[in-house]
Amino acid sequence: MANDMDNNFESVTVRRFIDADRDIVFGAFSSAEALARWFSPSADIAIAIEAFEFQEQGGFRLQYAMPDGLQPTVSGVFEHIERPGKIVFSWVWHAPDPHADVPTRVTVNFNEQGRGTELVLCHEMLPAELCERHHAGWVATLDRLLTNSADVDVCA
Amino acid sequence: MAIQYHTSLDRTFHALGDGTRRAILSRLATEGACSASDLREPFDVAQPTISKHLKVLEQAGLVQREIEGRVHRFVLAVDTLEQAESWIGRHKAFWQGTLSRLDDFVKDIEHNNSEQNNPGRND
Repeated sequence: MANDMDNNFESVTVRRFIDADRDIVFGAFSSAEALARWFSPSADIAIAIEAFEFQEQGGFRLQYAMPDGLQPTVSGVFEHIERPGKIVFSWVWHAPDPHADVPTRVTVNFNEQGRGTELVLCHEMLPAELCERHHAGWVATLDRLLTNSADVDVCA
Repeated sequence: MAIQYHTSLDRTFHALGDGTRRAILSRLATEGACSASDLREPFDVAQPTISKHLKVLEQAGLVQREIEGRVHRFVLAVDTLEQAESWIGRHKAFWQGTLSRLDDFVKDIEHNNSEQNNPGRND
């Protein structure tokens, strides 16, 4: 049975008001060049964008470089893109990360709020029943990305 | 339908996504080891239902079963709960940090745009 309590155990939601037009905020997510300039949790964690295909069923792969030498890698597939209001993508850490292979999904909503944008990001564990289907989709997309690496935007 | 879990953490979150199972865990956390019939007391459900919940919790690594003769007692497996909490904590910190950097990035863009378009603008 799903209710709000359950969500607290299975997802993380972060809201932030950003004092800019939502086209600009959305734009920050929609290109590798923009993403490379901010998409890491702190300025001392570098990000390398190894693949980024901003279209539905397009994939991405990011590698972080932590100050302690660890290099967590994450990949996913854009499941839904609704410019400039919403982006939904899968998010899976790679081994040897402690959370490797846990199937999760990130939904980012961009809501107009006055002259700015309220950004609501929800990162959730996928219901177990859906994992098989999603997993198959991701594997196919990632295989395609890795075998056609010449077509992939690489931007370190 | 058989549900296949990819990881133990996935199974942990599935197990946590039920009010009765969370209540069982919180009872074990406050009272220590309990038998299945101890655990049934606060709930208006049949023993097999509690046994089923305990089995899910056990498979998720959230409780451990200790067998003494004919008595089965259950204890909380703290490590697994901590692992689940670490997923939440890590991702919360990750996204809070990342969105704060987004804020800085967007401010830079806005600042540069307004300087380029109209250096003396005052609105």
